[in-house]
Amino acid sequence: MSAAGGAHEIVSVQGVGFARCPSPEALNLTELVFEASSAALADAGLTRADIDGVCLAASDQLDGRAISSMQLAGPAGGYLKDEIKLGDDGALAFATAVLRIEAGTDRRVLAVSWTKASESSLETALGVNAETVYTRPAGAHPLVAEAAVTAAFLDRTGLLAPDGEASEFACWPLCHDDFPPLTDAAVALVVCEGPGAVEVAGLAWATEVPDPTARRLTPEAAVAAVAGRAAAEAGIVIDGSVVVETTDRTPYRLAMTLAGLGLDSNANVNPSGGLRVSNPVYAAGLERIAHAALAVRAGAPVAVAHSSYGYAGQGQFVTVLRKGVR
Amino acid sequence: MSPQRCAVAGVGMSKFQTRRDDLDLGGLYQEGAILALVDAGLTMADIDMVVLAQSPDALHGIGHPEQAAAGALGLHGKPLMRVNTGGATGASAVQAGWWAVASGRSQACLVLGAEKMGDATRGAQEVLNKIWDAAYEAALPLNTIVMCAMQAIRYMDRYGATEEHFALSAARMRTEGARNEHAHLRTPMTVDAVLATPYLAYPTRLAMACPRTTGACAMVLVSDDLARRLSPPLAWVRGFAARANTYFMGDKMGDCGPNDHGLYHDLHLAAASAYAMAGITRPADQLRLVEPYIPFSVMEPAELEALGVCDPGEAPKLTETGHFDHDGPMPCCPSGGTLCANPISVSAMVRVAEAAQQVRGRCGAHQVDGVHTALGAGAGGSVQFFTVGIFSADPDEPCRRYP
Repeated sequence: MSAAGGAHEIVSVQGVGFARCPSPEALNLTELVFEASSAALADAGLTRADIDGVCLAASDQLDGRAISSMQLAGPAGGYLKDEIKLGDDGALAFATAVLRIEAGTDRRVLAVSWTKASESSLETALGVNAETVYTRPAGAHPLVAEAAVTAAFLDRTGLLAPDGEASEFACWPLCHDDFPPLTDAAVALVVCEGPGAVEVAGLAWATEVPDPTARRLTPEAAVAAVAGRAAAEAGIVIDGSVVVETTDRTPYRLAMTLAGLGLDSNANVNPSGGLRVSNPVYAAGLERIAHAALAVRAGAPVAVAHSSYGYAGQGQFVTVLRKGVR
Repeated sequence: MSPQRCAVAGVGMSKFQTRRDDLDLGGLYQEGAILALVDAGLTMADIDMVVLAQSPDALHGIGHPEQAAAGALGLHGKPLMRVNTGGATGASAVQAGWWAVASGRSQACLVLGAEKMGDATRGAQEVLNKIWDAAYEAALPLNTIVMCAMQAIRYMDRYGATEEHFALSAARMRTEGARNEHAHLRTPMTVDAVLATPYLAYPTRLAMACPRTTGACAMVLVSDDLARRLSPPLAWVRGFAARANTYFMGDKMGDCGPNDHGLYHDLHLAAASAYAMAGITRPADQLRLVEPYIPFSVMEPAELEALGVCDPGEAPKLTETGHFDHDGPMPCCPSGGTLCANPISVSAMVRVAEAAQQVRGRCGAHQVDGVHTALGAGAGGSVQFFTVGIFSADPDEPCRRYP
């Protein structure tokens, strides 16, 4: 992806909204999505009538619906609006919102993503993602593929593999404790044309093939490639002074991402607390962008949001946000 | 800021059929991609973004098929996004591809998808029957056939349309489909033959309903700069818009104003937005043809009226006069439409691809003479998602019927 079209329309994040469930019964999925969208609109000082379009991203399997946007487009704000639904990471809803504004077809777009993990088993839902003929029967559950990527990372870097009882491992070398607990949450951003306090300075994403052994780039190199494009568009260098929000799905993923971004453990990473605080799986990428926006609002000149997603982290998404003129 | 120009430079379509035992889902992606890229005179190396059109995962027995699609297409480092708006998915994916090019972030965007619903071991309806709200409406009982039949009954009650009108539409589309080498159902039917088939749900009879279809569709969307360096004929995107409506059909009955389940207010709003982008103020005079999404012929009159190509309540009478025939003033689905092939993930892409192909003069035996501007549309969910795309033979000239 290039920005060969020249200077893009200035796009800003005007509203950020979260909805979280203190307990699974506190909010149903419809209410969760409605509350997040409503909070984002209120944060932006807008109403649904001010919105031109809505971009959604979520996982039908985890929602337990064949086409979950049938139920959730309305609560998200899409009733009689120009609405579209993306699969996989919530950051893709944000990307689509930005494309719409840069294309000049929309002025204000809601990007909304959610996961109510308490409704279903993540492991079961993920189990049907593997290719059906060769991969799935061989037991290559996405967890197994993630473990393989992690083992290769340990080999590559010379880091010691963890030791312990078999019961401590979800799939060696990944321990149960390496994974942040799943949480129920919805996230919404109001993305607008024109300048604002938080502006989109750079945006890039890329996908690799699902088979980790067939990929051309290591995860670190894949992060570096995508981050390099986003940083170049923003005209920045990502260094230790930049706030980074990333999907730290495991400590190893965090290490891969830091290596890809050229940062060390002293970097200002996940001041929000990261996935240990909130881990709505498919909405986590959009939540990282939301927290990056809040960091800029709080005074950071630049913040970077990163998410890895897909089968064993096959997708990488990087957004650079910067302090705007107001 | 106006959208940057975007043209359709390549289209690829399978020859649609019930099953394909020779190709898996990934193989179908490749088939569609290769056909479209060859048509455009490009290769995957020229593509800088991919949009995948794939509707319910459950139809394919695989979760998040976009993950596998990246492997089938060898996407090492290209951006991919997957769109799912039910039956409207294919048109929504083209809309997303248009946004990518119109924003300047993509110079060559491959939009593609494939459908394998013919392989579903327990039938596609078993999956589609689960799209309804379990608490309120699923127990009616609802399926996609009943949903559209209820719409048709409301339309019949309002405007006096009859089963014969719906049979006339079905017979016309089945006859048109016989000319289309990509269509799944290619046997012409008469009105009497349609009316002799059994009811699925009154007033919808078997021959008024689409088949379940397997196949792929792909389109290559390119920027103005790249378009002018390519030799194939082009169809320029002039407008694209969508609307989402309520999940609950009960919300569209009773005191619901124009948003009546029988009238497609959502399609009307989407078309109005697309017309505004394209500078179309008189669709009946400025469109040469339309390819709306009509999986059941009972949907046709209300859709045509929502698109504004005729007045409210007028479509059944115009159907009697051949107004929507291939050689009539406003051909409707000269490809045979979704009624003759419904590969659900890409059915709506086929509609907009057919509109683009008509503009490009690439429709072979079902080509309509002299097409400057054409419309394609998709529909999905509980007839709640509608997407409308408009294509013309040049990027700037006023949209009109003839070149």
